[in-house]
Amino acid sequence: MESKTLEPVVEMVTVTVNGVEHHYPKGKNLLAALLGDDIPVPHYCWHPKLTVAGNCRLCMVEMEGNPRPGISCNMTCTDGLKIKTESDLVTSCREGMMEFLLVNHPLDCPICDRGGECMLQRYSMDYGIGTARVVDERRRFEKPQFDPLIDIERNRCILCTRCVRFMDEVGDEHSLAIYGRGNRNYIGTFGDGPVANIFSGNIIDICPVGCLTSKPYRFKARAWELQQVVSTCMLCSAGCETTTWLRDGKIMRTTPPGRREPDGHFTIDEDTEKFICNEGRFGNYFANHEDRLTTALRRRDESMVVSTWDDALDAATGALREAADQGPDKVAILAGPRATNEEYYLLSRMARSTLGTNQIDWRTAFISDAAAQMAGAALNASDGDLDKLDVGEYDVTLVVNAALRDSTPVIGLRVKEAARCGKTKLIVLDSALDGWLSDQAEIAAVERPGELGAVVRGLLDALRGGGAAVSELRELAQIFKAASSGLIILGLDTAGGVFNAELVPAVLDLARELGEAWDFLPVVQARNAKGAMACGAQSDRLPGGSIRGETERNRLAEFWGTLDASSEPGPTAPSILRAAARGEITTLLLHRCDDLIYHPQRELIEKAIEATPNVIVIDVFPSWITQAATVVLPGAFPFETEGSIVGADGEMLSLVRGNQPPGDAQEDWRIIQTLDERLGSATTYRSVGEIFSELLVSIAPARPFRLVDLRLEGPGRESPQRPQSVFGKAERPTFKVRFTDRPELKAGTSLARPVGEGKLALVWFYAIQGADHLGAYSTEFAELRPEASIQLNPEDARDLGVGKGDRVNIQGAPGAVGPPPVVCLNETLPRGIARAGANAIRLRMGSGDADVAGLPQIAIARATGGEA
Amino acid sequence: MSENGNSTFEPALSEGMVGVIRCGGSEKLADYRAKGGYEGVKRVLEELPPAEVIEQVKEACIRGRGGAGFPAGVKWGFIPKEKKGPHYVCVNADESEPGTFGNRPIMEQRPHLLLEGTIICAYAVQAETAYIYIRGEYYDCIAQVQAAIDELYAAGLLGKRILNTDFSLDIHVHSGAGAYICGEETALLESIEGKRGYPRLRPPFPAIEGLYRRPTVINNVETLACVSLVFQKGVEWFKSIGTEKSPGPKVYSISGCVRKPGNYEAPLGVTLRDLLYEEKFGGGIRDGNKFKACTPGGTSVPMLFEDELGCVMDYEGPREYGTFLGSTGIVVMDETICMTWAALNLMHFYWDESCGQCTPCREGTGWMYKILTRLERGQGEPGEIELLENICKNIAGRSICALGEFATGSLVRTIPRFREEFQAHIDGKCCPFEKKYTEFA
Repeated sequence: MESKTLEPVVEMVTVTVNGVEHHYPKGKNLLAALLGDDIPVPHYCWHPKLTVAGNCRLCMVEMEGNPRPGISCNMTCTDGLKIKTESDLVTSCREGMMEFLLVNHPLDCPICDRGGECMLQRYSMDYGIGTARVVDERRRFEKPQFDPLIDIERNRCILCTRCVRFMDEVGDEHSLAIYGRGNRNYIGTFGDGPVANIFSGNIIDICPVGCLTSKPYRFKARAWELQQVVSTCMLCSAGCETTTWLRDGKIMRTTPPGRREPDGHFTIDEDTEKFICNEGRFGNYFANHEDRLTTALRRRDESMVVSTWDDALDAATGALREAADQGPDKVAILAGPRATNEEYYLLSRMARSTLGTNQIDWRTAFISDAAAQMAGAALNASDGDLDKLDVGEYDVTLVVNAALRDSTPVIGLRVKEAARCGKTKLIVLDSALDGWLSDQAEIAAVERPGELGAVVRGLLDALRGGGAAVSELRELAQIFKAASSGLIILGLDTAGGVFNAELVPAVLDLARELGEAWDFLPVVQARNAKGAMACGAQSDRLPGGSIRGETERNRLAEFWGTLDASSEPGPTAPSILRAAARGEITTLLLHRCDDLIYHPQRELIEKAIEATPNVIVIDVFPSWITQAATVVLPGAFPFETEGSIVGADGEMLSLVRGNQPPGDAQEDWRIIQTLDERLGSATTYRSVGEIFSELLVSIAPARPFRLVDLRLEGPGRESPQRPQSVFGKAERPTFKVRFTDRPELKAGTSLARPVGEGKLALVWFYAIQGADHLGAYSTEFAELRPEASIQLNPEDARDLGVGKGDRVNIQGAPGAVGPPPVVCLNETLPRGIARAGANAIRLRMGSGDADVAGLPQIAIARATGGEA
Repeated sequence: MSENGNSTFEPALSEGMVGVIRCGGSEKLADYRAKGGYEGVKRVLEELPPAEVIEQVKEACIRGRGGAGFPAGVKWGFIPKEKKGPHYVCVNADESEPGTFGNRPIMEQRPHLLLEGTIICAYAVQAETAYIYIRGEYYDCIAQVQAAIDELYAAGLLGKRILNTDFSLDIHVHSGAGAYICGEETALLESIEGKRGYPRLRPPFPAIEGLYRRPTVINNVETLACVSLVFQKGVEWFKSIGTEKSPGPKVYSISGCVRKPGNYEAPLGVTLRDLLYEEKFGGGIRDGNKFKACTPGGTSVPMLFEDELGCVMDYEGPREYGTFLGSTGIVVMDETICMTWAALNLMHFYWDESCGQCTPCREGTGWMYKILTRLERGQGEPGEIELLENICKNIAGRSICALGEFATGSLVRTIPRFREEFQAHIDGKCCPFEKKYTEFA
């Protein structure tokens, strides 16, 4: 890690502001420097994460020796610069500019959704002249149909172009532009089509006025009526900090963290780290849904009936005790991926100490034992203390086999931004290029899915100076050797982890070969996989270390009183499910197993639940699993419970409780603890804090997680230097390598087996869209969410007689049961390979040895009209 | 004009063209060469290193004819000497300023005069590509310049290894699409790049980051025509014309209420009175009317009035009166013209042509246009003349490019001078002038 601390020495310069000397780094953006020092300078068009536009003309400052004012957003800190932010000239500039901005702005604040958090309102009060001299009529625009999620009111637009620049520079979707001329200018999309981008919701936040507002939030509430809960988004493993805005216990909206100014004004933080994806923004309305489980349920004959908590807990306890008495392999706990560390810790304690079993695991997203084992090994090997995933800190970033945009969009965004700003050299190695992240790559390499491990091995050989037969790999090795630091990102759950057995050891060897200055970041879609692993909700790990570790066992025995479970690792989740399907398990506790509901191996899970006498489910919504359970205990959502989770980068993030769970539903940690108590456990925890303290002591020696108080505001960040080429893309072209059909690389085993006549091997991944059944309950968003899609090689598509935009059925076994997905063509896909989000298309595949050893072979046919 | 010692002045830029624009065939390459044309290019390419070319242009003190009057040689000198990628030359032929049409006859009739200067400029700044951005409405200019370029390629004066030297140059004609703002040099660059014609923030300046973010020289048509003359006839010849600080010939465009509107070539330093009243130039005010006001340098600069006819029309003279030589587009208004109407006429233009990028220009021009419309119709409110002055103050110097300030040109000197005439519109609730021209609404 030495190299990371070698920051270039920053030269400080003296800038005199209002007669007071300030010291700023040379070349720093003057406006950013002033704002960082809490010197108020009003501004609209400048945004710390976007290029300088300089069009609002509001941030003008007086420069000594210059009769004309200058815009501070386009000035840099130079030594001896003398400026004034408070003077008669500056005041007149601000008054004049505010007056101009209101010449055509309607006075419709009472019906504008931005009221109370509008920068135009705010600056008018702070810097305006207070009276109106405009008597003429204002210009008016027609209101177009625009975007399903974003409402546009062009009359209110002040043409700061923040949204246009955001879509160009961050969204990488050049859908927004300025049309018209002069004061007839307006923001729009071609043909008034949708903005259509997974990050498009951010333009609502960065719009300083009421031009772009959220459709689901429209006319719902006023910002000052809402309770803000700063918490962590649980929809993917990026772990974005979000604010949930509640009124009367209902979620009104979700935004990046905002703050309330002393004058009552609300602002959303201007920080790229906090741009969130549309799923995180609009996908949280499920908590309002009336179908929530609000009472405990028990099975009576064929149906589930409402039960008291007492009866339900008794039944659950009885079932768990009965199974534990039969032996440690008769009881199993599958922990879902959206739980908190505290919940995992309590579940682990219940399993190991009270029930005496090691059959507890979170790895339900993996389709085979080997895949799950390898995922555990990879997570275990990852660094716990990456610096807030600041990808720009690394010379080189290698992304292998990870559908970052589709499964963890914000992780993808951070990598992409770092590459685009030229801070890191991005190298992408995958079975298909997404044309998003890969567009920013220095080298984007494609290989058939099963051969990715061989490419990594080849790279390793080249690094060691061995005879890599492929010249591109030698070039790649040169880049790696020249780098002083690097980051390897490996997607673990692509195709249920079927490539892990080959890829994980190869990548780990590569990381070891590259040495200390390289960090390794394994990524899964599941939200708190790292927390589950760290807190012992993994069959081969105790909280804080290996199941075999004496120190860990002694420490936990001290905390827990007893530690009855053996020191032999238990089975992984896929093995537990198979054992259950064989009828070998008496009682199965499913805690938040959302992923099981749309799991590709539906048949296996149905069998497992059917063959298990007692199935206890802790969840928030009814599903086919709760219908088949013995006992259902209603739990709580993230913002209804306190706790901590571990972000993808190993950072400890906190969840803040802002709302009561509805009805009789309880916070999950209370449910687990009560079960544990009734099972005879001695220790009781009175609060999440108490569990957290114990958990920290347990896991800290093994994993140096950093504690971050999410509610503290960091200093403003520097505006990134972006390449300003014609279309906002990086100037350098991406060098594309195709490793497919290179015999010298073949390792002999190809997981993408030869495909049968008319069939394609499906590389599937867990998409954040519809990642679980919660998506369906987020009704405000469900209908507006982009449709499921499937990527095909254009030649394959032609052979199949389908084209871009066609809907296709994926029938048969394996197949898909969701609405027919829309075809997207991707010429970087190797022939015979298709790519889709398994949960989006509702993939159904078998669970036999042959089924889990490779990619599902699907048959695609054009969907006929009217079929859905 | 005798005061400049130029009584023997021979028009060098326009040669045969006098007065009104003559349509018809342009000067052919052979004719141009017969007069010594491209001798300059030959000498420069074969004998002078680029730095020496820039020195000579500096010595000749060719002031930028586009309006700012910035010395061309100094501008060329800003281009990095060490070439790390392509350099570009852009010719600003987007002549869109109302009352300015001096570039048009040069392009239509003597395109080689422009092209020779362009080649010399490209050689001096080591550019291999030049773009001539011609106003889209100048259809004839586009045709004539393109024909001349074709002649040059055929004659080996453009393309690879010009005149068997190591210097290669391609010149492309780029047609504008009808936006005044694209005459602003950085908006012109954006337009060539295929983007919206929005002026850029400076810094960075085009000499460092211009077209496609590469070092770029942008010169006006007439500036480059003067460059050709300097290398054909010599620095001394050029400096013998005009004034010390503003040497050389200049095409003045005279329009409006004069007897003989048209383009007239004269040495820099001729007085406004001579230009308006001499028989060989404007020939006096029409119908024997009294002179009231004129724009000395296109409609973007503050106006000059009756007692200011002695203004010396070089780059320094108009500054004494708080205005500028600009593009030497002289629009003359006689006593029958209502100054409120004139201001409204011009404000309509600037409101329409404001690109809308920055706040003061976008909103200010529209607001002033609305106020002036009401004033002219007799619907003005008391205090609105002062409001106009205040708006002008709030725009000037605070916009991204100069268009905002240009829009105030018709008002800043005019209101104080004709305050009573403006006020009469409010007091009398109608325009006191009889003649009505165009309604702008």
